[in-house]
Amino acid sequence: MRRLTEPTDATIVVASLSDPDRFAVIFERHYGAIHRYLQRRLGLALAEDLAAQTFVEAFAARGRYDQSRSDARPWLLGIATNLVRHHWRKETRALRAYARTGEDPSSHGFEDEVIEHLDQTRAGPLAARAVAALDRRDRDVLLLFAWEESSYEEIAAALEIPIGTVRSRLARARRQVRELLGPAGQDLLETPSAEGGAVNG
Amino acid sequence: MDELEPIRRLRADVPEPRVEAEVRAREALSQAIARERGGRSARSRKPTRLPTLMAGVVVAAAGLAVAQASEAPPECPSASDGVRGILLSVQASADWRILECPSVQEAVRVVTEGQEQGEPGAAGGSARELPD
Repeated sequence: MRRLTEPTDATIVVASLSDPDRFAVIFERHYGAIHRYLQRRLGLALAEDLAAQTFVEAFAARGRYDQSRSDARPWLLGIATNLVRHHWRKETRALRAYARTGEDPSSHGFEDEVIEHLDQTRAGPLAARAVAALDRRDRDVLLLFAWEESSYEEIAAALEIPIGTVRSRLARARRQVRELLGPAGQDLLETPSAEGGAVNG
Repeated sequence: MDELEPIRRLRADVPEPRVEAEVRAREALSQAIARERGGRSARSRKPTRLPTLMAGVVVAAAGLAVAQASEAPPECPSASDGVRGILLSVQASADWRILECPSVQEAVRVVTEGQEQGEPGAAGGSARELPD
């Protein structure tokens, strides 16, 4: 946890306007989190490139940083999410492949031929299918909420949309996931070792 | 049932970023910073300005806490440390001026070229020595 005497991200970003070197602190603080987010969404190979790109773009855009936001993480997640959008078809294909095979590609990158990591929960493929079926914008909101544990306000800041839109997109995504998981999803959650139904991406 | 629970379970526990990727990302940002600072290339600028990030903080008169800059440049890793050893030194260093070290620049070049040639993890775990 950051010490109280340490400058906030907002302070650092503002300082970097006159002293660009200061922005290195933002990298030090958030690179790991942004990389992990991108790796979960797009796999290792793309995550490495896009994580670097996220910070270069953030540096270039820091003049537009909302200084009322002490934590830069939502802002960086927003930039990263924008970069993910260029690859959302690839993400969808990977999620569908996961739904078919039960093999989680995120630890290796979607283009790797060898996938070693097998998901331990039978609900995984069903959930992957459900996420793959979501509208791209709804998916962004849902994953920022469920994976990054971002608040409504943080998601709104990240995606530059009103909080009301966050709520409506999240509600729609949750409803759709609930429908797609259905009773099978509930059974799988209650009995993790049970065999799941057919998953046909 | 919380319908988000399966989605949360889908959230893979991904490993920490590879050191090669992190160093290349630092290098990319460092170059962007250098470009803005004066149009000088990151390769040619003198390592005199980057702050020491973990050197502690001070509270400035204006009430702003800022990173304290280091006076002395960091010690450059030895080429004999090998690519991975050098990259680990960069990752562990709080002073981005280490990116200016010739041995580091060569290590980054080796990793980047390996990546471009389709060698994922190029130099990863390698104890390969760099030319002096």
